[in-house]
Amino acid sequence: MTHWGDTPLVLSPEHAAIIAGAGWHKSDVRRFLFEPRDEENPMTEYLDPTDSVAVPRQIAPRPASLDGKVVTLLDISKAKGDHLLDRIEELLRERTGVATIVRKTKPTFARPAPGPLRQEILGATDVVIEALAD
Amino acid sequence: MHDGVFFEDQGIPTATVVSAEFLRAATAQADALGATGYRTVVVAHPIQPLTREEVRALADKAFDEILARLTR
Repeated sequence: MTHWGDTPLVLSPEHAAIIAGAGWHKSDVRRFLFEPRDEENPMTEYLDPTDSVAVPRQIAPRPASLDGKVVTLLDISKAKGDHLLDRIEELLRERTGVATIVRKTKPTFARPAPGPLRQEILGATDVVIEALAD
Repeated sequence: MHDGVFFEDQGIPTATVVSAEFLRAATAQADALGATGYRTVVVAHPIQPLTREEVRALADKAFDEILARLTR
């Protein structure tokens, strides 16, 4: 995923047992994960390690425009995401009829926003712009 | 992605901006969360070596798509 640094993989004993039970050795896992399968995209496949999804999620209906809307800009706390959001805020003010722009910041990009922050945003906004995962 | 999927599910249109390198991971995660129709706004990767002005230029480039993602 990243251009910098090494990528370590740590497996829990339970997962290691499942993989070993399927007849895979450590070298098989390493080869599967790290050996390029084509020049363009070394990782051509993502495997979903989670359980199957029980509940399909909805996509929200869209308004016709942002006129009169409250827009929340959610900074996920990755470096330089604030530069992007600063410019998006300017463009929203210049080019749309937004009523209010609210800036919020997640404590860390590594985890979903804490429940109270989610609820705070949910109760006070019409749309959300979230950035910047890089 | 968790947050975007959560807000969409709660009825709040959400535009999540990711760099190209993260598109596959973001889509895979949204799918895993059950939001198979979730679409992100993609900007060029990488971000971290860019200057403030270069990052702002990415916002200019992506802005129309962000608006399109939030409105019908």
